[in-house]
Amino acid sequence: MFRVHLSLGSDHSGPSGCAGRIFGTLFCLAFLGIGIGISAAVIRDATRDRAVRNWPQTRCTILQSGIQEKDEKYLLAVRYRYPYASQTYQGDVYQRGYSGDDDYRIAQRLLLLYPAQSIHRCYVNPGKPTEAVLAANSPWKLPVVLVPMTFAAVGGGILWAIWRGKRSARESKPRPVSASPRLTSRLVLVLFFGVFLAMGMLFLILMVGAPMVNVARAARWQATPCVVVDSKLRSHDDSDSGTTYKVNILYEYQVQGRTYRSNRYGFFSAFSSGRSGKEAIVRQHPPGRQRVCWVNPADPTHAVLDRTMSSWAWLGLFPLIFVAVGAIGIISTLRRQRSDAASPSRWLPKARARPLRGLGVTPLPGSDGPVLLRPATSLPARLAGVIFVALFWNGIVSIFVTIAVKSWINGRGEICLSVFIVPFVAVGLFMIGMIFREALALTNPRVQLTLSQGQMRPGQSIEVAWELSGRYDRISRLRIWLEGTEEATYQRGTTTTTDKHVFARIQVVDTSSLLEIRTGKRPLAVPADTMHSLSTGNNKIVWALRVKGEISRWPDLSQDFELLVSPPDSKEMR
Amino acid sequence: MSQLTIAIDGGATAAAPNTDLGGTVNWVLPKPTDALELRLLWRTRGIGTTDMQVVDRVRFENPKPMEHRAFRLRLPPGPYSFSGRLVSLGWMLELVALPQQESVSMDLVLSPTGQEIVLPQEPAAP
Repeated sequence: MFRVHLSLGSDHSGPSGCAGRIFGTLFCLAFLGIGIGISAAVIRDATRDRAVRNWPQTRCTILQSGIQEKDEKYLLAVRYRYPYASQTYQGDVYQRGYSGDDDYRIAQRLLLLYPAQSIHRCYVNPGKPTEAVLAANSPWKLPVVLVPMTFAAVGGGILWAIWRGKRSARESKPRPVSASPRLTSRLVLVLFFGVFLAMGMLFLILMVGAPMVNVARAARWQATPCVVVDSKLRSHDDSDSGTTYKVNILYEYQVQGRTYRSNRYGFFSAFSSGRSGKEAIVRQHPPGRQRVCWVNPADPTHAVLDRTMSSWAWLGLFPLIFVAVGAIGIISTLRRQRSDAASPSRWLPKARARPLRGLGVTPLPGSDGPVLLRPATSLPARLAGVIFVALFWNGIVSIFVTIAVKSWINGRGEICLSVFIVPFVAVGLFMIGMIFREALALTNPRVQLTLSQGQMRPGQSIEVAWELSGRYDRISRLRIWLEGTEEATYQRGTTTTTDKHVFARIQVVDTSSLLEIRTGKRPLAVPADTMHSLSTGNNKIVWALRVKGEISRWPDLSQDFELLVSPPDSKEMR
Repeated sequence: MSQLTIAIDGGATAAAPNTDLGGTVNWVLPKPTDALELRLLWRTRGIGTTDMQVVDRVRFENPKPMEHRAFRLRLPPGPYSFSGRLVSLGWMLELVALPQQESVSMDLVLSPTGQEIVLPQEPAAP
């Protein structure tokens, strides 16, 4: 008997379980606390904005307006005069909380909107008439609170599950088996995957869609001479992604006698890693250098120096992963059909086999075969799984390795951290080794198993045929056997564990003959007094053909093929 | 306290899949009861979280305080009753008085051999 631990967690009776529960509680409390804190801040901010929108309005005259650069942002610097309660005041606040923008264009559009001597309406604080703003904030900031509230709900929900799970485990209520989730569960699943899909689509549109539309439209933009005013590399330090960079070239151009400025180099203007390439661009655009920029004829504030698709725009395709997860999740949830309570689909697993019809093979009368068995896990999928786990693990570990290495480079070596991460690095290296092992296994011979019929019955004999392709001559010994396994999944607190026990092992072939290794067939019978395949959710009986090919100084050929052993149906019983 | 009993024709406690199962239910009800329900179900036992499925139900409406009624159920092709080291599965008939939820149950073996399948503790070497 062996055990497979699916997740780390807790058993309320054990010390490690207690630690897991405390860790989980602290983690959830952090989620809950941060979510509630940010929600409160957003609501407070939105409430203040609402108060500003309710301030009395008065006519104000712009005295001065211009664009300033402050903290690497371009902002509208404005001064205006306004009357209130028989007095005249002066203000210089454009909007509550306004601090400018990375994009010069936004400040420039405000400048065009609020030129000197123009007259506008401004909002005056009735309790403190020296306080006024030119523009009120949008009321649409409030829905943003849904994002931190989601975090708080997730934290609270998991916290509830942790402590309720403890009670549930004690009560040990049986779970009704369902061939498909109930309507409410399906709805929750569709909503869950819907969020993935919607967020993925949103970011895909923002990161790829909008820039691509701009690139397409820019084909009709006009080439305009421009002169570089300022040119520098901006950097941004982030504890997660390290230092990232962005090209900031401010240039000036004229359209119909009017002077405009822009700091957009291209349509993909996010901070990213890769300093040298961006430094080269900055060097090519020193102040005073004459260039040709591309100006939108419909909106002369909109201009770029490079209107082509940037090569690192491919990074914007990252949200496609979320789109794929969401779409596949929704489709698979909706495709699961409900079946009646007596239907074998409630407890009989699906066959992992493909009919071989159309290949000149005639099925035996009354049988559903022959069929080609599909491996439980394909080799590329296994490799992809190992790569994913290794990337995830090493990605997290690399953050701490970077911190430790930097500490030693800076002469303030973090001894505790360096010692602490050693076992984690070792596990990461082992995972990298597993990647190589699985990659080597990809070159192993491929095995194909065919059954004379798709569904086996207890006590019935069928024929199993194997065929190896590729370098089968490297295999020194081939073994194929049928194995019956009990699988029981249970939960203790937040831990999900699956225990397995092999109760039957029936040999099909064990040979060292090269001719027989390449291809062969054998009869195969499941005993009459044994159990058929079963899958009730937490409890399973799994029948599988295991194939093992020994290869010297190379990863062995090892593949499993689940097959369906089913009881006769009512038609066969007659 | 209600008295509920289930009796299968011929006194059998085992049946083959895809066959009919007939019998009688008896009750003595001290309190008014809306209905009684006979449920055919299976449930797993063992180390794993228990899974269960009510496969069929027969409802007896307007019950008299003391009565017996006959029933007939079609048994499905599976799953078979079995006993293993980690997982076991058993069938039962359950008679429930509604809405009090008082109940009585009776174990049943569903198997082509008439006996619960016992899985080996250890496999034979291949």
